[in-house]
Amino acid sequence: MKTLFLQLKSDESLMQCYQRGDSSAFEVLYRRHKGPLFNYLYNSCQNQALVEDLAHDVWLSIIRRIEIYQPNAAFRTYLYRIAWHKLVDHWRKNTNENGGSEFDEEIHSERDVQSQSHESSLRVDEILSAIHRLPIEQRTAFLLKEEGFSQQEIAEITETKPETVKSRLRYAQKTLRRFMEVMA
Amino acid sequence: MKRSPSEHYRALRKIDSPDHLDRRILSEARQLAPNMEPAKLSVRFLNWLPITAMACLIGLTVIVIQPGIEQILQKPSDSISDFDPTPPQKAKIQRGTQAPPKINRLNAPASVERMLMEPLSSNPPSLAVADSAVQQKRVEIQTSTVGSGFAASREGAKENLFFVNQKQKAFDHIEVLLKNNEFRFAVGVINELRKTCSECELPESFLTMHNERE
Repeated sequence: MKTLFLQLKSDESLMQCYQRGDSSAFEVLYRRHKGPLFNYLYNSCQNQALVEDLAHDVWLSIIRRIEIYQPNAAFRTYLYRIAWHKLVDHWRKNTNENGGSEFDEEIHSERDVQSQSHESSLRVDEILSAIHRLPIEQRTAFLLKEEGFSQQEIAEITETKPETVKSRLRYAQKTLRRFMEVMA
Repeated sequence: MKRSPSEHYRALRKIDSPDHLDRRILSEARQLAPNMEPAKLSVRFLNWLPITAMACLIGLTVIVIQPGIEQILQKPSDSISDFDPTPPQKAKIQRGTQAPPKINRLNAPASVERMLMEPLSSNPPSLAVADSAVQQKRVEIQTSTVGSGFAASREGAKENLFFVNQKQKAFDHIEVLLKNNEFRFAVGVINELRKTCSECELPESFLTMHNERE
């Protein structure tokens, strides 16, 4: 009953409940956002083990910063901004920036089978490869847009101007279209 | 039919976080949650502390200062600007100089004597208000015309010199007359009388005026 009541609450209200020590509120919040966040992180670096570590770090940051959290912005923007910072830290640490060499074959093949049911002329690895060849900024803008964020929200997450985000998205679409035409 | 990059991307199956990761994160969230309640309470308390302290300070200031303000407002003539820190000087008569003559019915100025000789029913021309109550007060002053001091109104200084046998009584009578608007310009006189009232002394300026008059 309590969980049902919590599910009706907004993300920001759930965070405030968790600030007061209600861990069940955090559980509802986590189950609401864990999938999209994991998906975004996976498509950004495409390494299962790395993505798990990153996701864990992101959520742990949320938990540890709960005392200073203020519901000024949407929680979703706050969550993905932390994720963006974790990704940037990771890319800066690694000399091999794209991390594509650690591509997870298991998940890849599973996705490939699932994708065959769609009327797509491209394979999953080709789509992901095309996305992965994008520059980091363009890739992030594209993936965040696919997660449902507006240009303004993407600008807030990546700490840039909305005009810059608009430009990155245009270049990303153009590059991806060219890649896919070549692969098709 | 060509598909856009976004459509290709959306066609991919969305993957979810593994169960072991979920259990790990939720476990840590539960472990860290109970420790946050006291910290949050202290933060809230600290947020309200300056406001509460300020309110208490304002309340205390009002309680302490208000009686003083009321006291000042009730005594407008005793305001700081009117306060004279020097003790009132007695009218000293220097040796060698002629002392002011005692004023009595025999040596009173002619104007005073004329006034005293007037019948009580007639109205003196210098009084602005001449109703019966004021007349009665004036009569009281006139009937005690033997003494060492006198009081005068600026308006009627030329014509009205009221001799009294007690200076404090003069002060009281003039104040009553002032309240009845009988002496329009007696404010300065009253203020000077008030300064010397505690010492039961009339100001020196009256004596000077009296000497000049003589």
